Amino acid sequence: MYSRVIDDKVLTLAASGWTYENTFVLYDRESESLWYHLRGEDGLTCISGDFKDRKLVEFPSTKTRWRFWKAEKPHTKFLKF
Amino acid sequence: MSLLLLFYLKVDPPGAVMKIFKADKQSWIHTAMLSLLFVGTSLFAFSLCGCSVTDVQDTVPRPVEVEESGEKIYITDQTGKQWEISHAVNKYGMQPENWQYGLGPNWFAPLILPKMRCPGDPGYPTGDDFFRNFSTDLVVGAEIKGDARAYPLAVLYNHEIADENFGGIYVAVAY
Repeated sequence: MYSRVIDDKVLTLAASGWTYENTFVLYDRESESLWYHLRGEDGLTCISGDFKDRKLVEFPSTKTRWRFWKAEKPHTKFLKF
Repeated sequence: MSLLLLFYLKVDPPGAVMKIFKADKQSWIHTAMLSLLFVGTSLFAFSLCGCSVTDVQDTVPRPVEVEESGEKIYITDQTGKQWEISHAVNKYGMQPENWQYGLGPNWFAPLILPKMRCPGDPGYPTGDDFFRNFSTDLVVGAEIKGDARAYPLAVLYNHEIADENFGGIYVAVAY
């Protein structure tokens, strides 16, 4: 999970449709800059576009089973689909 | 379906048709055969018409179209869209040949501020029965300032990203 705010601008991140070394290359719809999680680093780095070399910080998130997450966070919301 | 019945009628004597509507063992066999024939013909017709996924892109890796114009390096994706990747190549060593798929920016539509269910809401998953709730069992969970959310991987898989706002913080949840 990554922050999507830069210079007080809120970015809409999406998959660009490209992968590089089996990792999705993201882009922001506002500037079409490319964002990528570089190996060995945290967060997303802007590898091309207006925000060249800038970073979007990473937030902790967990891949787990629903029942374990729910047990830990009983107040949790769940995506409506 | 009616074509099929016609076919069935032509092949068998008219008397066979009456059997279908009788409530006896013979009629069940006829019904089963008819259903099977219908399914088989439908599948055959479906494959004949060449129906396929509406999207034209290949979901297999293919050689990427690279163009160099002066200092700039461009790659073109399967939708024809060009991406300028000079900086990615020069500074981060991301060679053009290793950029794969190029499905285009609209292949995975991100979830944007999607609706959530709260505990107690109708449809909120109980998580008790693994097999019945299989598709919702694996999740990405995250919490910011007491706002905890879970996204089933099975859904996130199709979107890659959920553009969210948790407790006032704008984040992108990634698969």
